[in-house]
Amino acid sequence: MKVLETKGLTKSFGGLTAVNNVDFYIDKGEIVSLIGPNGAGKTTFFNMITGVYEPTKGEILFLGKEIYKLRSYEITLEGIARTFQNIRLFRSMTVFENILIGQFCRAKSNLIDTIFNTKRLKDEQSEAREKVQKIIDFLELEDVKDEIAVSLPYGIQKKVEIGRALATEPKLLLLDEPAAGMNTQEKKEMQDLIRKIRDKSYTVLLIEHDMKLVMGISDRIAVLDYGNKIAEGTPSEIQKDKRVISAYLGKEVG
Amino acid sequence: MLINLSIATIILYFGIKIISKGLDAVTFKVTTMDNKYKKRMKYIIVILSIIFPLVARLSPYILRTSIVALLYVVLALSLNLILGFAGQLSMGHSAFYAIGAYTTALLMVNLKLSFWLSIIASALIAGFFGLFLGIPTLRLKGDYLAITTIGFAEIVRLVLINWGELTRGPAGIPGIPSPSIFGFIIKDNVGYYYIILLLAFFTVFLSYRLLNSRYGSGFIAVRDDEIAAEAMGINSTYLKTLVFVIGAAIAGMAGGFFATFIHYVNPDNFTYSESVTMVCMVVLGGLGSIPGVISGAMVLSILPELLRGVATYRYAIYGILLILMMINRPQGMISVDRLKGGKSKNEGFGNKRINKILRRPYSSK
Repeated sequence: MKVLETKGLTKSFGGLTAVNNVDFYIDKGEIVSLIGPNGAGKTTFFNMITGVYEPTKGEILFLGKEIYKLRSYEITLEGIARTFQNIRLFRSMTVFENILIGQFCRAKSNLIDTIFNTKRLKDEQSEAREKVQKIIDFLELEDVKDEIAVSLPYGIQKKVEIGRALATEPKLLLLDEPAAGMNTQEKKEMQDLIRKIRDKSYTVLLIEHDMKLVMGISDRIAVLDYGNKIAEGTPSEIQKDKRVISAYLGKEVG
Repeated sequence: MLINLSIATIILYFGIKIISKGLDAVTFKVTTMDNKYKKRMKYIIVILSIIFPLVARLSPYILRTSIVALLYVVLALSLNLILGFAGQLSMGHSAFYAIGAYTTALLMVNLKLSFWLSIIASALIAGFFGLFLGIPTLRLKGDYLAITTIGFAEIVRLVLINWGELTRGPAGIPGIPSPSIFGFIIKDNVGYYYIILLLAFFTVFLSYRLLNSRYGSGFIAVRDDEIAAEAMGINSTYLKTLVFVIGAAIAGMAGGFFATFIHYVNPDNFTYSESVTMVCMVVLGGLGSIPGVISGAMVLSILPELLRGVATYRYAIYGILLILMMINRPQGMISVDRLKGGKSKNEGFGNKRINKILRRPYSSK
């Protein structure tokens, strides 16, 4: 079953076509990576899926539903969650509170419940707290859960961002360079974590520059270059693909 | 004169440093207290504020000053919802205050409506104007929002001055009757004290309920990072508009109270400096911290009275105090970080709450 499908997705900024006519899909339970040199249009592609940018042309189908006209928060409600390339945690909140925010979009209590502190609100809040606690256990963040999130080391902040995305109960998780700026040990941990997330039956779309990580965990890889999709396939196919090699290393002369 | 002022500056500087330490100690004590004691503290504060006028009635001056202080507590808390929680720099809060005051004044004088109905109407109409202003302007951020809200407040003031048939222009509306409750007409200031105290309790209560709910967290998420908040499924436009309407409605109620308390409204009561005073109270007290904003409002409304003794230098000292306060304690009197049990950000990394983590060898910061 296709979780996400794009058809002829295009985004132009004035004269520059950042993403050009990209057809792409993800099946349920897959880990798919999107790679490409800097400026290839990967993040633009992400931003279109998550409603930050509106596509110039083309469609985005999520579980068979058109989503490209929805606003960012509505797309999250539909079941797509993301992390950011430059960490964007809420700086005045602890780790626990950051992850709890993700749960709030699933809450049903309204303003009246809030003012009168009804039973429904209390039940909902304790339920949300339990779910967040489960995520914290899953990500092994118990030790730091009451620390201010932005004061933590980079690797842990990345994990908190993933936790926050998981808390929105997504069907599709978009990770924008989760291993950027990490050391080898942390990268290895991140790789294991992404696998663990997939094993919990989430579907994952990944943007990543670290080839070892990408080749290690992806079921399928799509390569973007200057906004065009130049190749798609399993990691071993991509490693052999001439166009991919030339995009990354340049053409042989002669 | 300059010599006197510089001496005052030096004294104030060290005074603030000492008071600062005291405030931190108190906040720390309170946050680390048992829930049982916290509850007891709450009751003590409530009871004290209820029996206060029975003592203070001996001095009408003190009673009147405390009514004004409580009025500003309500106003500052309503602005704190917008500025402290949701982080929207609204510099035109006096507009809603004015709209509320004039609504109550007109309804009570022209239609002989009861005070309680009028004050609810004030809240509704001010809230409506909040919505009316909020929908187009809350797309703007920071400085731009500040400018548009200043513009709105000026428009309201100019309309009040120039719409002679309705508002009697600069002459204002005199003869606003006193409120009555169960047939008793409230004549003395003790009665007014209880009305504004009720309003203040209501505002504090509402602030806490909002803060501890998903709405409050949503406001703070929007303040911290709007794009990330949207990515978490938070409808930031809705939340910002909502908080703007609630803040405006409460300011409108405060305005309604003001109208009956003074018995006279005129456009000069609602100038730009009134908005600035409210912003100062919120910032001085501590953005987003409810006890902080309450103390900020009290200090800034009582201080000018205390400084009457040094009449000539009154506003100079007031200004110097604000400047020094912002240099020494940019986080405000009672900061949110401390309320959460940590220490403030600008105290560097000697921070109990985070040093455990920051000292790890691979820390990237």
